[in-house]
Amino acid sequence: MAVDRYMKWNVIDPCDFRWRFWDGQHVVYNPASGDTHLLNPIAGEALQSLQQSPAGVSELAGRVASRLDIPSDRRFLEQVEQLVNELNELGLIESEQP
Amino acid sequence: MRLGELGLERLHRRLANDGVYVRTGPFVFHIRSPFREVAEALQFGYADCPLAEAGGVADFHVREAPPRNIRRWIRPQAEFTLDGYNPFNPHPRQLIVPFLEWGLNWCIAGYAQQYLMIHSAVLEREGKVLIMPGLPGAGKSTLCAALVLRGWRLFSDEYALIRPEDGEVVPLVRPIRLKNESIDVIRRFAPEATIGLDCDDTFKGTIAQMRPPTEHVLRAGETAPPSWVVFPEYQNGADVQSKRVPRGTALVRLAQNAFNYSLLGQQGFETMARLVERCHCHEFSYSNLDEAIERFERLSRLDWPGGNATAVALPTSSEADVEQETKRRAPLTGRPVDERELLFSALKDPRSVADLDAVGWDLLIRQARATRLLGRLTALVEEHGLLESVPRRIRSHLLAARVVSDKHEQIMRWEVNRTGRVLAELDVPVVLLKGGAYAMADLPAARGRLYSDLDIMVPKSHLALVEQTLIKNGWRTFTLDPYDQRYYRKWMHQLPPLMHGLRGTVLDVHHTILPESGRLHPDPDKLFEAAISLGEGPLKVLAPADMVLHSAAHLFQDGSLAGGLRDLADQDDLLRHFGAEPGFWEALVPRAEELDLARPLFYALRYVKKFLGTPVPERVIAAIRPAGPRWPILPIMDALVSQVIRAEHPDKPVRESTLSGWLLYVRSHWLRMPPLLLAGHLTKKALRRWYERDEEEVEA
Repeated sequence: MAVDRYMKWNVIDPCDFRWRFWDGQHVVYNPASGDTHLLNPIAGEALQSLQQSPAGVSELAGRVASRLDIPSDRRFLEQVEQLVNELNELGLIESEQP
Repeated sequence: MRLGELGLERLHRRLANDGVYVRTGPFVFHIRSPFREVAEALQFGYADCPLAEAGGVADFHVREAPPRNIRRWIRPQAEFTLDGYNPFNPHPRQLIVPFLEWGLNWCIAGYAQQYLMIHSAVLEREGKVLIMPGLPGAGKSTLCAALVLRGWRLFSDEYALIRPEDGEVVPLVRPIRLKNESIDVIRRFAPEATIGLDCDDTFKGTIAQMRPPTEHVLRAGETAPPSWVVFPEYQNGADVQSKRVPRGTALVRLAQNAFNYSLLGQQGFETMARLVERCHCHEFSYSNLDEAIERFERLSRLDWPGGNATAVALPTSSEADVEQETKRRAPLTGRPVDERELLFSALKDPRSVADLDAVGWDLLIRQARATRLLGRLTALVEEHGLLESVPRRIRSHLLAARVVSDKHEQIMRWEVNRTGRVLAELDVPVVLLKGGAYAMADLPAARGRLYSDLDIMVPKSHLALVEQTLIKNGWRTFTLDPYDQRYYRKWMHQLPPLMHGLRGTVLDVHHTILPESGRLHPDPDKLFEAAISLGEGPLKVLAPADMVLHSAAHLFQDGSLAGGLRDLADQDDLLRHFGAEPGFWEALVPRAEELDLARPLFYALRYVKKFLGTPVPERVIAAIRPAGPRWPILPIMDALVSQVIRAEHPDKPVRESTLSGWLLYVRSHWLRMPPLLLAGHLTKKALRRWYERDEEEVEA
């Protein structure tokens, strides 16, 4: 499913994630779905960032790139776009109601 | 007294009659079986286990016996039962011992939700526990047996039982099951090992049991903290290698090996996270057993940090427990328990359970579990502040039931959330029915409930659009047979059930509340008009009177009343809850007449009052009386319902209940379809079954 770049994304509501960070891996438990997710650093940072405040894909890519000190180029933007799609399908985030 | 002290002959006699109560780890099994092989297997593998008091309390009442059909004589079979329920198909007589073991495992995995359970070998050395999860073939049982023979204390060959409250590992010392080549490997590794006879032809190949050392069984009450998690893997020709596993990966792999990680929800996550935080987590590959054991020996001498605590000796169980339970029972021996009224009494007046002795509780738990009401019973006991007064062994079953019902509710709420979001884009009212409605409206009927699917109702005019939208968003139909598809779409009140591709949950999309082919036809437009919104979005629930009427129609017009006590308990809850609202009782009977549902309401009010003591006002009873059936239907219904609604004693099935159940099943079909359609439907089904069987035989 394609993600609208101008849409804002937020963590699900209500959001009561439980986090662990070990050895460069983020583990997050979502009490609403009962699912546990093992996230790589980019996905972990993106989700944590959205938990702090909603963002569109471009803004989110910028935030994550800056936090992990990696270049925020077009390829990275596409990567974050796909990531947002996956996080949405997993029920961790949702688009903000217009 | 230990089981082995009985001697084989006495053990065999007792198993064939009242059974034996065997304590293994934290569990008491009540085992019955007429087979001598079972006595021999218990005498071999469980000789050092303490016997609990006969006729007392058990966690699980199991039986390994011949089935009640011709197969007890021709190519003899046996079957494993828990409270009259068969989790497995009948099996060949020569496999009774492995099936008994699998059955005991099944009981623990299915019901001991007071622990986080990981499929794993577990051993202890110097107060530190090693957990070795592994898929079949990974070599965990072989390693486990070898380590035991080198002085490690056996906790379990199958289960890591982790206590969520403190993270301690609880022993469950039973025979180690060796499979195929492992049997000879261990015989060569330690000729002194006590290994029983091989059992061939199981679906896992050849199995033999290694008896656990006596001292390990006697120390089964000593828990210890976990220190190592090792994922073993046997690789032919490989050198011994050990590699660290990141904690996040270890947590996920442990969760995949756990029986109930998901069920425990957040508690499961926190317990598992604490486990990996306090353990060193490694992958371990090996091919030579001596080298592997030597490496483990070396590792155990190193101070792998993690578990610094030493094993704490707990009161093993057991005697103290039995004594306490016996004392609770003593003053009550003169008070007979009416076995078939026990569950009714507890549901009617939860405070009545305070008078129960442990044996009464034992029966109540079994009856509540069989009727899917154990979660509800737990909720009632907690609401009345009675949980602490329940005997400890019984309390663990109530708490385990709460874990299961909490998980069911979480899944239901999430499913409503996901479904609501998908359907929000359509401008269509979506009415939640039954359990989903009770949960989202926070009604008492949701307490401790077990859910099987989500039921929603949408207007028939929008059915196709809703179905397309759901399918576009990951749901799919799993009733593929063209006849079934046609049957649902033409005659039923719902679409063929849908299943979500990722979540595996089932969604029933209704357009009315009774089959279109049936005799009663409530107008769905009236239900939609009166439905109450749950806030923003398309989700609604039926109005109070309609909710009661739907439950009554479902039980008395559309169902066979099998498992009907749960529906009746729902009606009791709904009536008590809504009955306190002004105007509810006055509107109920007129609404039933308006919706063509007066007869189901008549039955519902009659039986909730009779069996659960629901306070239905006399004026309402009088108003609904004309809707009742004529003589002799009513006394016949009374007799049939009375038989199927009452919980049985699991060990003493009542023949009349089976007959009554069958007659009510026939009645339900009679009410669902006109005779000609019913005859055609049944013929079609029978022919299809016959044709499918033919095809299966050809393929075989």
